[in-house]
Amino acid sequence: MSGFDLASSLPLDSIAKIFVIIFLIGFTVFSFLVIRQVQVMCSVVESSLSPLLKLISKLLFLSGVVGAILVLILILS
Amino acid sequence: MTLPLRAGTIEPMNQTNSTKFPHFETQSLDEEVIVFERAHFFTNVGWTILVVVLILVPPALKLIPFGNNSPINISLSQTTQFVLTLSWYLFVVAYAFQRFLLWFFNVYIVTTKRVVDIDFFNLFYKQISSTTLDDIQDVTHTRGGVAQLIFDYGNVFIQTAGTITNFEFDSIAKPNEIQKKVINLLTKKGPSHFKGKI
Repeated sequence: MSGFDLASSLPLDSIAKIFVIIFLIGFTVFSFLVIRQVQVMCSVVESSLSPLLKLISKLLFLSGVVGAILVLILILS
Repeated sequence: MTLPLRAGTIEPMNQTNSTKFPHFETQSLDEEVIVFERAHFFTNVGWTILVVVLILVPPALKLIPFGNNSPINISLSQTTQFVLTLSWYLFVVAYAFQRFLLWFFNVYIVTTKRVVDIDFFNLFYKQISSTTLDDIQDVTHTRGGVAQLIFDYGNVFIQTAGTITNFEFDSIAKPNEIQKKVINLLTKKGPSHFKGKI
């Protein structure tokens, strides 16, 4: 079947991996700022959900860090 | 000190234990919270639908043939697809979390002493405005549109004297009741306060 063969003209797999690693580094920085912001928000208005929100923000940060490390390992391997 | 997920009006007469009530950063010890509101839950429907659509994007893409036999060959390895999908879901979760935070922490408070408007415009910019009840000139509520009529929510405008910022409680539930509460509070402070202003 004839068509536009993007896969053979570009190293898509490598581009996707580089995109993901840049995304995950950005995401890690963003989620670190979110942790700080959640702390500020919870101090401004106290809530019963504060511990849960803090936990979620920390889990997001952890996901970003773990994801970035995993993708780095994938790229290097 | 805890706040319920559902914000609402709090009757001072029910306040027997101060530790049960909403509390905010700049609240003084002798200040009781009368109204504690955030935008109506219905205002979250838009971004919730968007999140559901975003969640469905990876499964939907799987249905489209991108392989060797398709007109557009952009086949990726299984590992890359997995990592891309995970990253996509991380993005969606972060977006949903951010929208929830902005809804949850944008609160409008009326106490026995003042009106406080806590606004988080985005994750990195906040604005806390407050004015004393003495500075309030006029309280108006508006409700328009099908959704606001069905779900009984709208805006409450609190006009203040001089150059002090006016307050706008956006999309709060039962705006007429909130208006009534604020007016009652002002009337209790002094019957002459609202003379000729309503």
